Amino acid sequence: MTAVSTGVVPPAGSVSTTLVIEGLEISTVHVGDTRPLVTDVTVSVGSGEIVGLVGESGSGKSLTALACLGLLPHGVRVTKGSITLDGKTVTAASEQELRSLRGPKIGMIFQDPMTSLDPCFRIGRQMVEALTAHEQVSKDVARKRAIDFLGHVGVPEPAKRFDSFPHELSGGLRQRVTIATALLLDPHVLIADEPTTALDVTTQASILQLVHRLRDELHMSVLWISHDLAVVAQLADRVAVMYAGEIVETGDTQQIFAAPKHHYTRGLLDCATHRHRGEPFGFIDGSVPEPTEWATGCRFANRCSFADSACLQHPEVTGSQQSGVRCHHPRGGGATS
Amino acid sequence: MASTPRSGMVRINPWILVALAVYAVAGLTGIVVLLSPTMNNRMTDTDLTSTFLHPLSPGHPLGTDSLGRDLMWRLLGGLGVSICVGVGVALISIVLGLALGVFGGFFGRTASFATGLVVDVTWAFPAILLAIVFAGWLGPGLPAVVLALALTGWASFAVIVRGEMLSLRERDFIAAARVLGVSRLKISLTHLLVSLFPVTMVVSVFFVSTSIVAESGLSFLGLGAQPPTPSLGVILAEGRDYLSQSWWPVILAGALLTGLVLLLNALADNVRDRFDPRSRRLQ
Repeated sequence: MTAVSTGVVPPAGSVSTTLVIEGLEISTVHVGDTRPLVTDVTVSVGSGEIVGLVGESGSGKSLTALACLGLLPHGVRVTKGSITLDGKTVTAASEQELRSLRGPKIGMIFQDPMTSLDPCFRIGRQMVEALTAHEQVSKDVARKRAIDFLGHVGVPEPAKRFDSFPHELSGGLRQRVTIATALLLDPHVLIADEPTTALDVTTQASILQLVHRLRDELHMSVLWISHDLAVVAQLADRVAVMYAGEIVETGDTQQIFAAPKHHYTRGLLDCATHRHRGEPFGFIDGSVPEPTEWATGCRFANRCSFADSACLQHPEVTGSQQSGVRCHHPRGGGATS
Repeated sequence: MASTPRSGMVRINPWILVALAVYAVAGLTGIVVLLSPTMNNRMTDTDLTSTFLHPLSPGHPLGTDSLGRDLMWRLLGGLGVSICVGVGVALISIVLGLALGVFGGFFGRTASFATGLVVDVTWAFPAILLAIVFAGWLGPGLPAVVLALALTGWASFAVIVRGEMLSLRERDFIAAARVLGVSRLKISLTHLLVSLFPVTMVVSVFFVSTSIVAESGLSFLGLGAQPPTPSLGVILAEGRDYLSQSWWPVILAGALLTGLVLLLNALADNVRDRFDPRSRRLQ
């Protein structure tokens, strides 16, 4: 399975960036009271690039994804920074403009294919609905295109499946259907919010292969959100690690997995992999702090065994945007490690 | 609906349907009799020479009442009135309630707040008070009853629909449709309305039964069907005065009413089991 990722050359730096998130801050806004949930998130996804956004539950990955689509829940707003999609500022777009972006410019697939398809409608109808929301197409053309795409994402007997109800399909097939639906409008960016978490490991592998293939064929950018490091390692060209609402480390997949600079990243990797046979899994003491409990200094300091008085100051990202770390004592080069 | 149950689906109990069909035939007969000028007199003609006849009397299978009117035809007519009022009230309530519930549930906070306000104001008026007001305005009779019940009933329905909408719109498939750029209006008219179908079915059956009881109550108080038009409530009210001499009008009308309401509630329960995915059984 690792062959999938090693065969792909990460896109060169000259490739234009499609999705740019810059200094993003997302907060809950009540009357006179603003509480940040996500702060200073800067990620960019180049054309044809797959970027993995990794973090535990509650680290703000999904909020970041929803902000890219302008679909933040009520009472939650982007309070700083910007999101730019193909040169268009999403964070300043009206609902009308957003609707025209969703679909043709940016698509999204969800975690649970069991719930992201409407159980009351045939899948074909749901696909055609997406098409007709943006283009004037006849029913026959829409149907043909939908069936083509179903075939393209590896749904067997697509013409027959077109008329199936979601409950008649397996989880893996359903996720293929949601991918086909998202791709039907040929989006430049695909946001995937843990789309393999609800699937079997074997199904997961085939979906990962599919996304990889589609990225190569359609030259689409993918922001892959996951808490599963193994998945990200297989799939992503670059990785950004989120912790407590901010990005703590970014870098090439190879580099992040081989030599993580942030102690949190190291801890995450230890949780997922045995370094030596027979050794117990590592774990990180404590849990991700709630946004109200964020320390004013380094937010990871209370769980970090390398923390000292310097960590009472909030660290800024050091290094480049392509490969940065938010730590006073980064591993491999820092003063204390 | 009882035919061809899919695997795992709860069947509608056929006996409920059979019994309801009997009620429907009886009610339809009553409606025909009520509406046809030539047959109307069967339930309104008085005959003071044969009052309080026992059931199974010759020519009067269920006996007669205090004015010698044939009880069988009066019960049939009363049933027809009850069913018409129940279904009518349910239909009006559902159309109004669905419209406002969908509006309040999907179009943001202000819409939700506005719906809540209208509902609260509506709930502040008891149905009986409204019925009296409408009786004063339109004259006492069934139109006033239907209006009063529908204008209070829709509010409960709107609240149920709005609650369901608030839960539905957080579902992934709604988000998925929005992600694809489908407009809110289209989403609420397709995905949401279709998803509302089960709850609408259950609530509407329940509404028919509560409306029937409410109509009987209002008629019992003299606000509903006016003499000589029968209604189950009217028969109960008239029979009450002569309960010591003839028990059967009250008992028969009461039994008919109770049976119908029980059946409708059982049907609503069955329909809910059928549509509720959580109560799906293995076969």
